[in-house]
Amino acid sequence: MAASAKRKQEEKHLKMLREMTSLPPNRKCFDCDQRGPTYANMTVGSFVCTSCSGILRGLNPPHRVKSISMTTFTQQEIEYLQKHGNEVCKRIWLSLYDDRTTSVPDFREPQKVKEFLQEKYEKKRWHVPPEQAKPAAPVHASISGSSNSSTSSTPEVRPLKSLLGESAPSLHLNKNTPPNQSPVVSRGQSQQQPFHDKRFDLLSELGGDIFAAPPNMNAGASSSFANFAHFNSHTTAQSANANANFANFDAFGSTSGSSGGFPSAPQAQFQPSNTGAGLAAGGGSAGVGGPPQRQPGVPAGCDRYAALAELDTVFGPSVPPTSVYNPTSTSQGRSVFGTESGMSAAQAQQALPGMAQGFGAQSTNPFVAAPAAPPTNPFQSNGRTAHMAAAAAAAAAGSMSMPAGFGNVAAFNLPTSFSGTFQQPFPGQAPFPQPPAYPQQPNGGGFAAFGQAKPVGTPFGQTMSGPMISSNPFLGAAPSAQYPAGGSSTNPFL
Amino acid sequence: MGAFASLMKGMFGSKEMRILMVGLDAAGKTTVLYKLKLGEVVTTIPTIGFNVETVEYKNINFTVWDVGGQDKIRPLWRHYFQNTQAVVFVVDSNDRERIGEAKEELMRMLAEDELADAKLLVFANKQDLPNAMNAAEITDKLALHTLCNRNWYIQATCATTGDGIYEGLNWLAMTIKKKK
Repeated sequence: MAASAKRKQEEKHLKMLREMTSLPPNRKCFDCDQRGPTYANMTVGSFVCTSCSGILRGLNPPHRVKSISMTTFTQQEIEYLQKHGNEVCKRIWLSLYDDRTTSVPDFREPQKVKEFLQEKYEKKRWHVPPEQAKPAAPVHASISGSSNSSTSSTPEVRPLKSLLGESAPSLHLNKNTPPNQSPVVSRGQSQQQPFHDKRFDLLSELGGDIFAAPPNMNAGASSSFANFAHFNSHTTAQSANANANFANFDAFGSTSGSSGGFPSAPQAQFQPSNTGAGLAAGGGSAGVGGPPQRQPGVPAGCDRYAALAELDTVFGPSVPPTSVYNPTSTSQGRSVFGTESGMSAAQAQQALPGMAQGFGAQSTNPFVAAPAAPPTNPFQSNGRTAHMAAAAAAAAAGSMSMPAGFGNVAAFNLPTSFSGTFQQPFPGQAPFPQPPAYPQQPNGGGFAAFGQAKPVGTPFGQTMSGPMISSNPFLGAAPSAQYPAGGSSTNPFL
Repeated sequence: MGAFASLMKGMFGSKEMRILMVGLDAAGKTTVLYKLKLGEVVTTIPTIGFNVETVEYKNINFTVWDVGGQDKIRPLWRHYFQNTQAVVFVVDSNDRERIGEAKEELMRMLAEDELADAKLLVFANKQDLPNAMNAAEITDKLALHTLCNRNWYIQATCATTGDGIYEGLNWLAMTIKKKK
């Protein structure tokens, strides 16, 4: 009797929690902007991702974090979260934070996130006392309501805000609110915009009608890929993990090799460039964020692909130059590249900041490097772009399947793969173009991880590569199917 | 033959000890485990499931199972009870609010038949935090003195510095050697 009442209560709380986490401000980790928080920070009342929850509980004094799905919440805790949430927390903990001058560290660099959180919570660098911050609520709410449709405040939160919004030094608030509001949006845009532009220019140069549509899909896709980007990024946290990342590409290389279709020379070319890509994408050790990192990757990519382009001129004669832009009339491999994976390329490139760094840079570069190649090459390299991006997605997905192995920490935390991490990626993942891949991931990642039973930090990244190769669903499913086709008609990498 | 082999192993070879490490979430179990294993402090994320490592110390192979402590997954602890020779119960000494909860979990666990012979080592962890309760206070709050027929020991630790961890293992090593 009592037990059933308790269960009912728990269910109610869980439902309320789910409602709270579905509110726009709570859909991103409060501390790193990653999508799909899985933990609640009970110390400040925010919603955060798993890796940030790990950092938070290591702060001094430690924050109390609770898994949304693996802990029970009391009525008080639920109310506390309702009162707070990421929106309110932002006004308290990031009140003095100006996103335009300082940048939030990339969530792919755990060490930076950690330092950022120490500044944020230990030193309280951008903190204002709640009494001062809260009066901003009504003002802020109205602003956000009118100017920014994405941040609609919630029925639960609003009354509290208005209740609290009595003693308001409104001057102060007005000063604070605009920067508070805009940054999230602008940050998101600033990350995606460059890639978008870049991509678009290239496409328009080519006059590729086929690609005109895909960019529109990015809006939807970006949400799903953010997750991947995250996991991929984590990879870079430690050198060992970075290895795991490469392992993916090795797998990529070897799978494609085994599928036949192309000579070993290009493959040899390709693998080093992959490493470059991995480095560019992650660069954890380098510790630099986005665009600057691409630069180093660029020249290398150019050279390599120039070489590949030459190869292509050797292998390429079979390609009718005129049919390039018409997917239906080209060979099978082409049409696959041109249509389907072309889209996923666009998605992956633009939607995945992490991928885009590595792959966007590399894959778009060949356009620049292409002049040596015949006129068909630009498109061909597009096809490759598609592939690389698909591979990137695969890699990311692969890493996602092993949340354990990949988090900076996560290396130490294998079985995490089970429920905690899967839960979040799910909604995000839905739009991913190759759904069949998903079910395989838990097996590949989770159990392989289990089988290892040696979640040691450094060695782990390497051992992990074993399971990765075999279990990466993307390699088994889509790409390998496409590879032979591509290989038979043209050099698959071009 | 079997007895002889085990005797020989006992005298010359290394011994095995299966250890189950549990405690409330964020007590520091995973940090302890990897401090033991790697000798370094790692940033952990909340454990869902378990981590397991073998650590050799004083010619004993400790197989340490570190099981996640969030409340909904605590019922899973019992699946690790079988053949467990010692339970390491890690307590966040700084968490005065939940020390009662920790006690309940500990007592509930110790009531299980499968753990009737298991040694109990309590790590009063996070001693570096200013508001931490000392080992005596933890002993009191966990009501360890009320335990009868239980070989137990409490050790103040700080997993991030490594203080106390090996002292705890030392006690385990001594008890296992005494036994046979």
